[in-house]
Amino acid sequence: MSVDDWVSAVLMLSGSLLALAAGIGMLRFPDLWMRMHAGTKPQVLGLLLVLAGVEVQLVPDASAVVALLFVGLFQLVTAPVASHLLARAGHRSGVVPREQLLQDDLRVFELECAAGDHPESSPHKEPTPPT
Amino acid sequence: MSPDTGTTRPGLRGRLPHRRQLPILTWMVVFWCGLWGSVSPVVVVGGVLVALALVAVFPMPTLPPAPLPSVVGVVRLGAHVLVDLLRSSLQVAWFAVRPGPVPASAIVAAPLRSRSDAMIAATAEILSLVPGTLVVDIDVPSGTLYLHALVTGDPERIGDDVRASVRRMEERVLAALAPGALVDGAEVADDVREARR
Repeated sequence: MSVDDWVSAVLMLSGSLLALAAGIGMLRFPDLWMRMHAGTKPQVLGLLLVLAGVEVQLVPDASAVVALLFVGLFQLVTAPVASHLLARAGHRSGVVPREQLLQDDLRVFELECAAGDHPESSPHKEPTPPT
Repeated sequence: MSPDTGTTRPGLRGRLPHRRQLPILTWMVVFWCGLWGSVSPVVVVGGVLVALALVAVFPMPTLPPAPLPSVVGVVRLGAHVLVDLLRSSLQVAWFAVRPGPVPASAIVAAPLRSRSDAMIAATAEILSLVPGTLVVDIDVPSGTLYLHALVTGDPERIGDDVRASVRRMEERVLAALAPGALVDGAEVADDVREARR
């Protein structure tokens, strides 16, 4: 195996291990928000490392390298947005249990909104039902 | 919306796009060429046509002139984000596989100093990639982020810890994308909503 192959192997294996850890986190973590932590950070970095490992093998082929760079870039840009939307939906709908949270400032804010303390804030939401 | 915001509307007249749309046009052409994997004239011309059609049909809200991003600030921000992404990935991966209970968590309110939609969006996006935080909700009028945070240190201080790290990250984002905003001590302009007045 050449040096390139070793670099690729290390990058791809470490990326795969991170993706595996993300998957284990998805299974083990107790609620939606903890799972989104697993789904955004190790998963994104794991994919970036796998892509880097592939790039090393493709390096003379500029068009393939650029295409993979775009894959990585869009993953970095879209993963936080997707996790934000899921996290927000989980809170607003009230279906995610919250007794494990040490504090919940967002619920306090919703209750204040319902009491009319923040007239300029977005006109959303009845306070979500406590679970 | 006032008529001078430069928004391109679809129309048979096919008005030329405002020059504020140029950065997004350029980016779309570059992306198009990247996807085709070629910069032959046919691909470039096709990319320009598709980009023009897209901004005509889906005009982006145009932002008022912003300060030019600082190159040093952007490089520094990028380096911080990479290091933070590495740290947070290893941290979350370790919490996932280590024996024993998973850490506790909390939802914390963290105020931002900027009232600019673009700056709030950039800060929120980056905070989702760095250790311990995940954006749950954003209240734009008060510029407050609601973050889900993993409790790794003292549970009593979780709120202050998160707010301190949000503050540092926002400073880096502003230093990179709106240099001068903090030096002036002023809040960053209320850009999008100012433009629509």
